[in-house]
Amino acid sequence: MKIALTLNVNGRDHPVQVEARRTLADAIREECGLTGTHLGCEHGVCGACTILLDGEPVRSCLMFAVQAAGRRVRTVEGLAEGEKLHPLQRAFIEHHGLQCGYCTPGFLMLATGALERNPDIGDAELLEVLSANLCRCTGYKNIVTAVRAAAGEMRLRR
Amino acid sequence: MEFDNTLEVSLPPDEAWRVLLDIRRIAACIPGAELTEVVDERTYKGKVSVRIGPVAMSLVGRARLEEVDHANRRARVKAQGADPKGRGSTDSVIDFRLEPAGNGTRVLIHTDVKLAGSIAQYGRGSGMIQSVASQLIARFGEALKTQIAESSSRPATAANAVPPPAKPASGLALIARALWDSIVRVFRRQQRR
Amino acid sequence: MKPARFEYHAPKTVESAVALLAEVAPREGRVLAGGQSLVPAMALRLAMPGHLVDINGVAGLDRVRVEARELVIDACVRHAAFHRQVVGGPLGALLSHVVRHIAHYPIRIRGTFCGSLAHADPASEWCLVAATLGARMTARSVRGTRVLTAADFFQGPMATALAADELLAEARLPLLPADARFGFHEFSRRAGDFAVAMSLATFRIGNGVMTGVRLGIGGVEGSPRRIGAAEAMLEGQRPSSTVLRAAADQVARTVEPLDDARYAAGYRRDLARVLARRALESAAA
Repeated sequence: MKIALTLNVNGRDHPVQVEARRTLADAIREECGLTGTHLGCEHGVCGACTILLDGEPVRSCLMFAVQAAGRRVRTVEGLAEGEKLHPLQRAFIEHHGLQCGYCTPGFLMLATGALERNPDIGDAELLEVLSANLCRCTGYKNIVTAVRAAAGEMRLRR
Repeated sequence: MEFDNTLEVSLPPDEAWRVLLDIRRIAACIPGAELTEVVDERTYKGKVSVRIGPVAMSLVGRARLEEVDHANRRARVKAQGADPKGRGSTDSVIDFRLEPAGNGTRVLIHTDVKLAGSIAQYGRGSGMIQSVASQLIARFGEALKTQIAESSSRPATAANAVPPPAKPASGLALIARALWDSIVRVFRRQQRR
Repeated sequence: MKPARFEYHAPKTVESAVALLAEVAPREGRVLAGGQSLVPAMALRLAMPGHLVDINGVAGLDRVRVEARELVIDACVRHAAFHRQVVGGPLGALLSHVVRHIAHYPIRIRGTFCGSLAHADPASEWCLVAATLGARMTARSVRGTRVLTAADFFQGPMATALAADELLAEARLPLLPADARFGFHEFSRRAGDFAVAMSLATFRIGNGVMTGVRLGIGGVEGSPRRIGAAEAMLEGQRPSSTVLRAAADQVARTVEPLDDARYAAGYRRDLARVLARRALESAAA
């Protein structure tokens, strides 16, 4: 039995019809067609599915789509402004913060949430936040460097 | 996974041995256990329902008494069980033996359990299984004590009557418990939390 | 894989939530709060509840307040609420120190304090806090309300005294005295992993001796608990290194550790000793 609801993703309303058991991750990918959000473990361990829910990073595989009705969802597709990449995206490219790219959207949303909440986040706290997500390729160092670099740029822009 | 448990019964060893081989009586002491079929005098089919937190499972299984040593009051039971919903299966060997303990009997149980399927791989802290097993055995022990007390207060009961020595031996009780032990795998996650 | 089918309910009031629970609990109905423990089990189809009662939309379940010298934490208060001190004094500081050890940031955004208690994972930090500080848990159902002490509440791994149709509506933690000290340490293989062992110690120091000692151990056994034998060795004593070590040794003698292929009982026992000592030393410092 399907439930009708509206998901607000990156500022746009998406009316969808989903079963209660449809996770937010799957609804974003399938019903909304936004496949930038990736499925890694599908049980809340890896963080590849991380999106922003009302500005806070959340594992979208651990929420049901029906729970996101009336909330503001932001995914990796919402970071760039048209052709202009977000500072975090540029930093990841410049500092080799990705190889296969599978974990990248999750890291980007995690970092966006952390930096928007606290642009002056300290090194220890940043490491603690970023340790939430798994990467098999990079060894993490370049991810941290990239986020630090982007933080600097995002601070300057303000 | 191997572990040991102990149970105290307030009956002398001979009586305790007879009681423990009384499959229907024992099955009644295990909450959630059901004996569904007697295949032959040593083989039984049963079902055990357990729940650990949000995980509720029914394991459908078969138990067979492989070795019974009346003289030394030892027995070995082999049991297999599977979750009808495909979450995994268990394969257990349970050795139990009785020894006198004061006026009563101590039941020593050694369980060797293999797990397969998602209940096995979704693992974290299988020590939890032993902890749960201990609690189940304690509850089983309580139920058994109650049952023994109730039956001994009645004038002529199965406990007081001399049981026929040729009665088919059964260790379904311990089989069921071992099945239970082996399936109470809860939240054994590799999850990082 | 994907969770199995279930019927979804989203009540707006506590009354309708417990009425729904009464109706669906016999049919494998469960409460959905943070979902950070339940949904992974559902994703792996280990848990297949037939009904979920989502309490995230129930009004007024997200308050943290002080009432009659207790900190009252409602059912939907998230772990993240404790990132800042929710109350002045040692209790607020203790909670915001402990919360950093829970999982990772995104999980703390959704997961709830009361959900953690109701789930009763042996490695739960909040369960150790509740057991050590002597929390009181309020359970609500269509039959009414009842209050459970921590000693009665935790009954083993993933087992609590809650009936299937009861909602853990709130948890109450006693405020610590203004001059209380605390120490908390846990050990896990990687940051954010489930704790293998943890310890929480609180006491005051008056006239140079420890009073009101509480020493709890979690992760080592099926449920967290206070180690009374060790507390007795500390009460009224000076917090010297010898005294603290002796108490930690007593903790190691008292606990009956979980034992498995990954972490042998002896290893957990040793961790209990070390973490108890560190918790006591941190409190005494």
